[in-house]
Amino acid sequence: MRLWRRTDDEPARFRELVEHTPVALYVAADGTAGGFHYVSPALVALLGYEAEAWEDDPELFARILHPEDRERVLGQIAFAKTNGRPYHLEYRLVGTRGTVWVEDTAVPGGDGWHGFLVDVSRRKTTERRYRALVEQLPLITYIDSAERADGAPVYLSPEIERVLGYTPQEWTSTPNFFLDHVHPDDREAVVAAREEARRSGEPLVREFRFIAKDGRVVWLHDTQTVVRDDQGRPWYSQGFALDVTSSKNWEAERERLLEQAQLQNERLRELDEMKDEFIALVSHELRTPLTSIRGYVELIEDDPLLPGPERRAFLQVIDRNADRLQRLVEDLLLAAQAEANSLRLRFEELDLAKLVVDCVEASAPHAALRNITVACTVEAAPIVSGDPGRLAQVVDNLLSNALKFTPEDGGIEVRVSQDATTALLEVADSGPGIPEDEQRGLFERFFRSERAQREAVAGVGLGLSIAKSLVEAHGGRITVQSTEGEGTTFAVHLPLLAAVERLSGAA
Amino acid sequence: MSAWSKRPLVLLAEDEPDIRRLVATLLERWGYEVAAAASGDEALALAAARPPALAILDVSIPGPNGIEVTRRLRSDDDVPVILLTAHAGDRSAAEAVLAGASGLLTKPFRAQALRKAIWSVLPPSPEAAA
Repeated sequence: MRLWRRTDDEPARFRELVEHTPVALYVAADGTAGGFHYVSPALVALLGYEAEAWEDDPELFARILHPEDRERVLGQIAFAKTNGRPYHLEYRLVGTRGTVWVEDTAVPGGDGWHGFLVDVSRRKTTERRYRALVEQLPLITYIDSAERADGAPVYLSPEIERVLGYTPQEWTSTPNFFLDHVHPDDREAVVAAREEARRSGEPLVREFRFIAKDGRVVWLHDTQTVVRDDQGRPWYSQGFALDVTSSKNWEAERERLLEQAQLQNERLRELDEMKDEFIALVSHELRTPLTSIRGYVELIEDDPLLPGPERRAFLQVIDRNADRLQRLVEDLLLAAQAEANSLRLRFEELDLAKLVVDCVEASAPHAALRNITVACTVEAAPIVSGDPGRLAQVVDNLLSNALKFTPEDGGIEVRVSQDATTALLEVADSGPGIPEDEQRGLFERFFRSERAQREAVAGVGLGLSIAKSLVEAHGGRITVQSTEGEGTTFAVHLPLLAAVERLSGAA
Repeated sequence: MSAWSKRPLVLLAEDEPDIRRLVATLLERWGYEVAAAASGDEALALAAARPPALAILDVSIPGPNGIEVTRRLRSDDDVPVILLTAHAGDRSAAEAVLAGASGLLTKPFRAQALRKAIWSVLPPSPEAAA
């Protein structure tokens, strides 16, 4: 059906149409200067300026453009006109009854630019309200459009600047800004997550690190959804990102603390096991001499007619086992003191050779019991500063070890010598030797060699650790040299008193 | 056969010389004959040479330990065994029971306790009580 026919009064009918349509139409002059050939009554009504004002005053348009939009709009119109292209703009005009948001659409025509203005003030107000709401949120909100090939967002809320230090402009004007500022270690995962979300169409939720403008690493929790058009095709995506750095750091801290606590637990458990083992060993080592003491006392008590020599022998057993008990108690005390770094030593000038000879003599009954010969070679009489009781204990511990591990009828060699600065004591047994892998742990507290455990050799694993602590408290050191099948030599190096005095005199 | 040879033979295994001598002295005073060993191997060799009426073994002797020796004595010759231990605790008791020991004495022990333990598996004969 044709409502319109070509007639003679066609121009008049078009005129009427234009004048009565409630659309603000205009015909603008070519060129960038502005000026209008025609404005419709609707446009006059919209802004309050008479048609004459538009047609006579080429500056009117520029003047009533909102100051914040002026530069942008004039520039865009000039650009479109210069290139002969249509334009579609949104801006504010200050009419006689107030500011109006308009949508301005124009196409080049024969006698200028034909366009129309639509009042979008209501939409703009709503939009502004939502925008204000969005921009008030402590969230980085953004809109990505698939149309932008560089992947830059079309909208970014100002929160981005507070969180990351970059302005939305920096962000949108630099190609690949987003990916280039993701933490290098997370980049691959971020790309993979984006591909996966594109493929599945599921909302994208991810956490990753981002490098802020000041170089800080910021953890972002990012949620992105794809908005589809009426046909269900992906249109654009929108999302929000949250700064979760503090909770991430807390998480890391919590993990660190947890790990630490687990290590501590492990260590405590080990210590607990060691303690149990130690208590069992000590209990065994206490019970053994106690058994002899109580047993031999009973043997003597129960037989009033016991011959003198036998009675004396039994009393010696009691005495020897009481000694053993006392040594164990002293060892425990010393080990505790060494552990607490509270070894109390009474230093005096002493002759190491004499001290060693005394110790060897004291061990003679023990050695004789198992028919072991102890040869003592004294090559020098080194004078050292030391606690005689404690140094004797070192020598006793080394001798008692040598006796424990030397087979019956075997031999032990003890040698005292010195060089310019150091006194040297060596105790060499003819025992089975110590495997190399065990030599390192030898001086640790409660260390018991495989052999000692297997062959139920008496001891709680304190002797050598005590010897080491004592020697070191004297400024010396203790070393071991052992060949399996041949024997073991322990060497104690102590600084000569004269050497120490020379040094402190020189200082 | 003289009365002397009828004294019951007790196999004793203990690596601590003082305690070995203590228990041997007690056993001899009580009228037993004693075969003394310092290790598990020695004990098994003695038992093989002359089966004892009773064995008294320390749990932690070197070589096959007291528990292991008990197992073998029980399975081979059904010899009653009394174990001695310086390790106080339920574990050694359980092990002793499982190995087939008739008694377990924790060190230090009274002479009377040892005597009672022996009598419970080897009732006193007129010779031994003498």
